[in-house]
Amino acid sequence: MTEGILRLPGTVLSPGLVTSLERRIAMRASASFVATRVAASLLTPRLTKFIPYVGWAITIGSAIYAGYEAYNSTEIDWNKLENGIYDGADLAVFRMGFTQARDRFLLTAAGIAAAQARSKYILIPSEVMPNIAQVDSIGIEMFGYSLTWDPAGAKTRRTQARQGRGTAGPIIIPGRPWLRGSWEEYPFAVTYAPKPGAYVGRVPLRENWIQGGFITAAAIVQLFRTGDNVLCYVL
Amino acid sequence: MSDAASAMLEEIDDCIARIAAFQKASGRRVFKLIKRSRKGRGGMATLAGFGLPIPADFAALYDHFDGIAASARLSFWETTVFLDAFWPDSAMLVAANEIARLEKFPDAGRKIRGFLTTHGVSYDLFFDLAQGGAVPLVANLGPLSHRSFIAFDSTLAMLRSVCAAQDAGVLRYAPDRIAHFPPFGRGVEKDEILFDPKDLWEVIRPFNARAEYWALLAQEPIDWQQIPYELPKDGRLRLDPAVRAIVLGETKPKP
Repeated sequence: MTEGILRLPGTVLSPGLVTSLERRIAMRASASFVATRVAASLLTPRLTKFIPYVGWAITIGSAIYAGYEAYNSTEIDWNKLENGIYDGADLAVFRMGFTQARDRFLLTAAGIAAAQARSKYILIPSEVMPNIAQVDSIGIEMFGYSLTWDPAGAKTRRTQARQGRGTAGPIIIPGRPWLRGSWEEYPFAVTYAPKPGAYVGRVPLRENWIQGGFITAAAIVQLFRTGDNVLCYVL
Repeated sequence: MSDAASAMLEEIDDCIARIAAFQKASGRRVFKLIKRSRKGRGGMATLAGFGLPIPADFAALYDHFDGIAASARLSFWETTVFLDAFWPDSAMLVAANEIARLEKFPDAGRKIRGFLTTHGVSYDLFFDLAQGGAVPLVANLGPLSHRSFIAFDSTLAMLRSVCAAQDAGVLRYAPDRIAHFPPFGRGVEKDEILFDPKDLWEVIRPFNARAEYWALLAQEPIDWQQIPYELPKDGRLRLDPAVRAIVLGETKPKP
């Protein structure tokens, strides 16, 4: 069920990381859920269950299959996504993802320039968050890529940026199931740019959750502190 | 293996043991990441595929170890072990050298990118400057500057220098962020290495007759005459597709 949650068109981060991220927002069906599905299968009126041997075998087989299907099915942890919740295991995955990308980024000319300037940075891998990358790119053109880290003011800035907007509603991509939407603002709520204001765009909620994870990971690994200059690069 | 090669391997192993012990004594968790491994040998073979001879001391450094794989549990500044430089694992070395070729770094075909520091300078093996079989580690900024300075006479000289500096007590680590650290002329982060270049140079000079970097650094911050790196206005880095694939972990680099 979750297959493809993070696999949007185009290439992605390393398959291992994507699998790990998918697991972070998917909940394995619980034992009671499996038992309910098995029981429901057994209780389904079927004439075959009254046929000795072969019919019983079909019924038992159907019940086992229903349980197997339930076991394999997963559900999205919407609470995590909607409220931007990251537990320790989530952050471990994001930190690893950010660290891997950062270490290789530092080997490029752009990375050397960032290190030489002793800049701290947020990386936005467009493969994993294409809609976010699009919104952020427009935001960077308007407000620049040099930001100041200020998580304490995030709530106020988020409220201001989203003023007058309702819920983000669903994101409809032709030929694909609709996705739950969310508002993305640039500069990120935890930062501010020299020029006041923010650019706001609609993005899939899951992308916003992933982006939040990457930003948090960047902040932990690079020891962001209030007032630090932080650069934003879209990869 | 000849006696000389065996002796060098033994000395390098001893240096690594001393470096690990110093990291542990300094309360840096990175010591746990210094582990024996045979993977480095395979990495050296891959690196040799770039067409450059691997210096014996550099290869010996990866004979019983495979550098330090970056850990997401440690901060950026806690994983440096060779003064201000990281000890990359061989996979990272291969990635570094492939990226240098793809991005057409100057002289990419005549040097091996070796040890990157936290501040963009890297200590690379410049084969054109080899003397008596010793390939020096040269401080440079890759494509961002035409200037370069010999930092260590060889890989072995670097290891000897680090151990001597540890023993002399000229190295320590910032217990917290320091807004301005006069010897560096800038601020430093928590866990970042601290040393006075003058003191360091006094200690490591005997191992590095050809080095110029530390002596210059002891006078004042180096003017790299840096070539500005222009970022696109929309913040999207225009990376070569192959480089992008390496950065995002989609492919394993190959020479």
